[in-house]
This record gives sequence, structure tokens and C-alpha cells, in this order.
Amino acid sequence: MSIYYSGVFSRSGGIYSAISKQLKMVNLKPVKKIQVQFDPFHPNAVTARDFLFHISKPKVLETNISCIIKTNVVCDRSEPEIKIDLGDSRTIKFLANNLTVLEILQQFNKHISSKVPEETLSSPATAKLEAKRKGKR
Amino acid sequence: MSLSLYTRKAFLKTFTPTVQCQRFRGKINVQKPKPPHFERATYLALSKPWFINPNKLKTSVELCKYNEKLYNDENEINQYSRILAKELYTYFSSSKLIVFYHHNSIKADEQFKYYSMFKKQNMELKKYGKKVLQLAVSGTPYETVLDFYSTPNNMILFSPESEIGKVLKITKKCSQLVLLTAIVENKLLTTEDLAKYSKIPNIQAAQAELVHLICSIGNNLVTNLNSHQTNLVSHLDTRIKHLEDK
Repeated sequence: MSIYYSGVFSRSGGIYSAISKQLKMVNLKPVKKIQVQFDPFHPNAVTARDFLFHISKPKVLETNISCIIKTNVVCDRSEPEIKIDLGDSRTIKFLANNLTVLEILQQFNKHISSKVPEETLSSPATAKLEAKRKGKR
Repeated sequence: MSLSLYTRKAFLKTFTPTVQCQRFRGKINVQKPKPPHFERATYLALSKPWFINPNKLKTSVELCKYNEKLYNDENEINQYSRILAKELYTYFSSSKLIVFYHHNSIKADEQFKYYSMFKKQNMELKKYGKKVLQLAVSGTPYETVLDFYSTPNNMILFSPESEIGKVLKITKKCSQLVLLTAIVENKLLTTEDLAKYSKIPNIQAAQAELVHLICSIGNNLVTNLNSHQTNLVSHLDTRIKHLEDK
């Protein structure tokens, strides 16, 4: 054949599947506190609110139970922003005015979740199984 | 079977009559009924329903079977959503306090807990879609509400009385609900305003406070005007006492 195949073999799952894929990778271990600030009347507050919704899912929160999620609803037409306090006294701020949820989650995974050492990356389910096995022995 | 049943059968015999209908003269032919009497036939003919052909005014293009609509019109409004919108508007117009929440991901169990907590205080926590809200609210004073109803994670609380303190107290218990704004007696308030407003006890107390304030001004004036006279009188009294003692 003269023209080789280029592109993907399957169709994209869409934005929601992309978000769920990113959410599965989220790890809150290095995070101490997440502060989400938005003005409900701001036209781009949707991003911050959606992020808040996704990050407060029980499966995500299970990665770090001591992580605090705080919402700050203001009424001064300010841009929505997400402030993440890390355990090592660093902070990361997302100015969410021109970002989408997917972009924020991607950056979150790139800068925060990827920093978690792999040994501690065992999921709670596997940890439980291991504990069971140890008990049996 | 026990013995007692046998004995009962021996003494009490049941009598079941057999009923059979017999018709005078032959069977009716259902397949080919007899023509009715002339007068009855005329009335039957008169009362026979007749309908206008629904395709009477349609053009041949409309009648063509290949001219089908493949997709539903997106702007078409479902009748059920109209009913919901009507219901929602009655809630809006009848309640004195309307609170808007953003909710995070919650399970139905927890959501039910929230519902019941508010229901005990005679408040209704509702969840409506944006389209229904748009139908209910557009063209009314509540139209601004649509500005922040952009995500599907919205909940609305309707309360017939403006008991803000109670609402704030319950909201603290509901960890997954985030208070956005509220409409108190047809005025949109922010969260800070709401906290401030909740500290005011109620209208009667506020009125009493105002009356007290107005009275105190009057009293002050009277005491100020009388102070010189009372001073003079007291001085004179002391002088009299002095003189009496001597």
C-alpha cells in the first residue's frame, strides 16, 4: 500500500472519558489543603465548580484522607482560582479563568501526582488484600 | 383430612343448584346480525361518529412517506418539563427564602439525609435541570438566577419562612453542600450578607429596638432639660439641711 495508516484506530471517548482517565491518576498524598475560590456570578466559574465536584469524589479523597478541601465563595466578580498547599510548604495556584477542568487535572497530575514515589502507590484495595494475606500466614 | 371433617360431610350435605339459561327460539348469529328496525336504524345512522380526515389539508410533500424528520428538534419543549417549570415557579413565588447550593459528589443516601434534615424544618431541597429553570424563570424577576446555574451540580432550597439562622445551621452539617447565594424576600444576597442578616433576630425584635432608640432620645432630652432644675433643688436641699443642723 502506498499510503500508510495514520491516526488512531479507535474513536476518542470524549471529554468525560479523558477527565475520568485523569481522575484515576490523581493522587493527593503530597497535598495538605486545596482551596477553591470562585464567584458564582463569574461566567467562567464553571471550571472551578466542576473541579471541586471531581476532586471531592470519594475515590480521589481516599488517596489522602487528611487532605482538606475548602471552598471560598466570594462575591466580588473575581476570577476563579484554585490554591493547592503542599506538605513541603509550597503552594501551587491555578488561575482557572481560561482553563478547562481537563487542563487543570492534567497539570495537577504532571506537577503533583507524579511526584509521589511508586512504592506508596499501592491502591487501598491491594493494601487490604496484602494485610489479609499477612493475617492468614 | 381429620375425622371431624368427615363427620361434617356426613351430616351437612351442600346443595349447589345448577342454573342453565335457555333461549326461546334458536341462537343469535353474531357474525351476521339482523338488520335493526327502521327507526332504530335511522338513529344509529344519525349517531354514527364521523371524523375529518387528518391528512385533508396536508400537501403532497407532507404526505410523502420519505419526508420523515430524522432528528428530534432540540428546541422542542417537553410537556412534562412545562409542568415541572410551573411547579418550580410556584415554589419561587411562594417562598420567602430561596437558597442556592452547589453540591459536590454525594451518594443518594447522604442526599436523602440532607433532604430529611431540611424537611423537618418544613423546607424543600430540590434539584432541577437548567432547561426547566429556564422555562420557569425567564421573563420573571428571578432571571438572574440563570447566571450561575451553569453546571448540573445545583440544588435549590425553598423555605416558606425566612429562617436564615436555621438554614445556615443545617448547611454546616451538610458537608457536601456549598452555599452560593440566597434570595431573601425577593432580594438577592451574598453569603456574607446572609451571615449578617442571620444575626438580626426578627422583624418584631428589630422594631422593638427602634422604638427603644427613639424613646431613649426623648428621655435624654427631658433629663438634659431638667438637669439644671434638679441640680438647683438638690443644692437647696443640702443648704436647708446645713442650716437645720446649725
